[in-house]
Amino acid sequence: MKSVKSKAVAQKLIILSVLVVMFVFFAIMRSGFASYLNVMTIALSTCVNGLLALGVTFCITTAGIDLSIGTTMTFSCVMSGIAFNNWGFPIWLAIIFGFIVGGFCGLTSGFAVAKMKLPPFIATLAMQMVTEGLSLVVSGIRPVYFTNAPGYQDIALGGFLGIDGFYNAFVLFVVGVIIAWVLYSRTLLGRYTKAIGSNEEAARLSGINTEKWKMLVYMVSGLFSAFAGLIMSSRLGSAQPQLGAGYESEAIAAAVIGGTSMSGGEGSIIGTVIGAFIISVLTNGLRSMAVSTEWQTVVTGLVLAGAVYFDLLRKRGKAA
Amino acid sequence: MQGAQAARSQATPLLEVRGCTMEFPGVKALDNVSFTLMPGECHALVGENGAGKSTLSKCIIGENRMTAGELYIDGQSVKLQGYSIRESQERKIAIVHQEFQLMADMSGLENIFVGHYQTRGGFINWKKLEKHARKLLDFLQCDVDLSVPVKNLRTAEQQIIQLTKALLNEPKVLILDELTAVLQEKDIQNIFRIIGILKERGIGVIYISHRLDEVFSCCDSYTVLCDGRHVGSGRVCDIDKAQLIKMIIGRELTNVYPPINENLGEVVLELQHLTAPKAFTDISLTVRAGEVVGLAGLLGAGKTELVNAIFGNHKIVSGKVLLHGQEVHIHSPRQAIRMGMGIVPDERRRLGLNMLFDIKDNTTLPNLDQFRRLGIFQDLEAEARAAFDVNEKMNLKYYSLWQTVKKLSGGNQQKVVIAKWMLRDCDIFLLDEPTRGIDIGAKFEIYTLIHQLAEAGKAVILVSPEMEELIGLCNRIYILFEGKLMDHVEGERKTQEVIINSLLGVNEHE
Repeated sequence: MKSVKSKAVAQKLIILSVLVVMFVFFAIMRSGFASYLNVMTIALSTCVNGLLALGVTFCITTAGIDLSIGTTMTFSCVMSGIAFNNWGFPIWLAIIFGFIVGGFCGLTSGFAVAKMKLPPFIATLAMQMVTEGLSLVVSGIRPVYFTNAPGYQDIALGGFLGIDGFYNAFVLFVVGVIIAWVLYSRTLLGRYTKAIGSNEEAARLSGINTEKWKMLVYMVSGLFSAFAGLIMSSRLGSAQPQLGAGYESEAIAAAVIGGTSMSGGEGSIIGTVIGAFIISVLTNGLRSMAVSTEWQTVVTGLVLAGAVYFDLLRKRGKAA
Repeated sequence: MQGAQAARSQATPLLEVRGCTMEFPGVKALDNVSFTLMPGECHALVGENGAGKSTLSKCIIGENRMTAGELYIDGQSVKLQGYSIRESQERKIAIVHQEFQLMADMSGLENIFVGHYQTRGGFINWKKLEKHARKLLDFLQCDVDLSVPVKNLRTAEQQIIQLTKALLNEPKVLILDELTAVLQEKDIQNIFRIIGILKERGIGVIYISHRLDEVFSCCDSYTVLCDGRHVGSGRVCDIDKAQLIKMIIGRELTNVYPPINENLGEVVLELQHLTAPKAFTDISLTVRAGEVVGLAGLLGAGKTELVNAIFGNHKIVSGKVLLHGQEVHIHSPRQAIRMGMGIVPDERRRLGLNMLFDIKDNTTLPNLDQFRRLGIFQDLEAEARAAFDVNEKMNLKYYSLWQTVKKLSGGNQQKVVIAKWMLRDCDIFLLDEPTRGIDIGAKFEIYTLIHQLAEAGKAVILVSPEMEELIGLCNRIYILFEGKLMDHVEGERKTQEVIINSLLGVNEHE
């Protein structure tokens, strides 16, 4: 019992120590890196990617993928802005509407995967293109501003309990993490997600309505995308219809670095959170060392490959 | 003929295995087995599933390495260290497997020569290859379309392609591993004819089959294996079928199996004229509470499909399913489970278990609705307690509920699959080859479990390829042949002879 439990813990400890080593490295290299303000900036920049990664962790655990998370994020906050500006929704209803849009996009992908049996890669690639296009169409390729909603930016950028620099966005992210963790580890949804990813046919023969649960999993991913969209648009004060595509790769990277297996059945919410932090620390640290954006991407790619490779070595070592 | 006999007795054996022992971790698959094959001889290798036939043939072709023993090919001693499939091919040994090893979307010609393409200037010389293939087919006196993808060919034609591929290397020893298991009668006759041609050429054929009639119609000699031991060898003309069956079964039946429960209740499950196209037709049967009902049949007889159809996992076009006398319509495993059924599928690793999951999660997977708190949260503690109780009751050997099932032995894995349904307290257990691929000791524990289920008043349907198992465990046995119910035996008629006849489609009433 001890050794089995500790295996999963060991995996998390390894990536956690990678995070700590990276942090210490940058702190030594750049004096301002470990400052309160910079740490809060890192935390803030983790929120959007982190929320996307939490959602996609569910899809990857079913041995699927969701490539539409970035553009669904954009589409849901664009729709939220349109509902607020053009349709006269009160801001709270507009926000809820954003979640409904995100959830609906996810559910549609889920329908394509579960009922129409499209490969998840194709179904969500299609959804990525559809939502990307729709965002541009409904917004007329112009940013949708939330300037008429006083306090909208405080949702992300307000200081929590008045603490300076301790952004609300981070608190909301923590709430997202707790929700994701409870779903993943303490509910039927989480157990069935893993069962489907581990062996879908066996799950079906155990009486699990695999189609229904897969649709729900993609809906969860869409809802987390909408959540990320809320934070994103609140930070910027506007929904930017041209953003979105490309966000999925960092989110998937965070989940995979965190130990979620692309072949399904295995994953962890805490691991995904650590993975998301690794990416932000890396990006922030490299930027503070004046490494250009292009090279940051190169390094992130190498870290992704390296992390997965070492995880494979670790598993192989155990199997032998 | 006499000349040939004399020549045979003087000739050196093509292949000789002496004292072959093969151990897998924890299991002795072969124990001191000897085997001799003469030129131009068709030698039957018979025994039950798990008797060691396939293991022996794998040792001969170098796929498995013998733990101890000697191997002689053409009178020459072969060094076992480093003996490989490659070397066996060089020494002119070929095998045709029971599973298809063809690439479905490639043509017959491509399949025959895959790995042996002769090129000229970088291009494959298809004309020359086609000529070569035609020559081989002419030798077998067969005609198969080599240009279409093999998936469009009949099963029998695919077998011919496999045979042709095996002949490419001009083998002296040809192993046919259950080649006829999925063939129909007239195609089997064709295989016999081909074996005749091969024998004339002096090729030695090792013929592995479950069908004893085939042994008598095409083989010269036999070797019987039982539980990895060599039971006997001899010439087919010196023995009759009854004697052969006795050798195959090997041990006394009576004390191996727990007693059959005779205390039966109401009819729990009844099938009326159940039909599913390409799988089975007009199947009617009943199962009572406390009864173990067997389903016998060869590969492709429709047993697995029937069990899956009852469980809502195979489409039925006509017929009725009655539970406790009420007609029910089951369209999914989920519905079947709600109506009190549980299944142990034939492929444990692919269908029965989530290999990444631990024992607890596998056991509780169909039962998670029983362990809720506040509607949506899982009560992990209650779940673990329930999983612990049921697995203790089943005498599972494990060190923790949180160990993955991957490293459990086959027998213990199967117990976890059964535990899933014990925890749910199902009324009907559908067991599809529950003892497949597990060793003798674990088999007996599964037998005991089946007995306990019957004693507890459960209705059990048991599918097994081993007749002995069915006879030992079942109150009644239904026998399927090509999707049809051939016979239904109980009491005194529950014998191997009666069942074998029906298995092969011979109806003794006619």
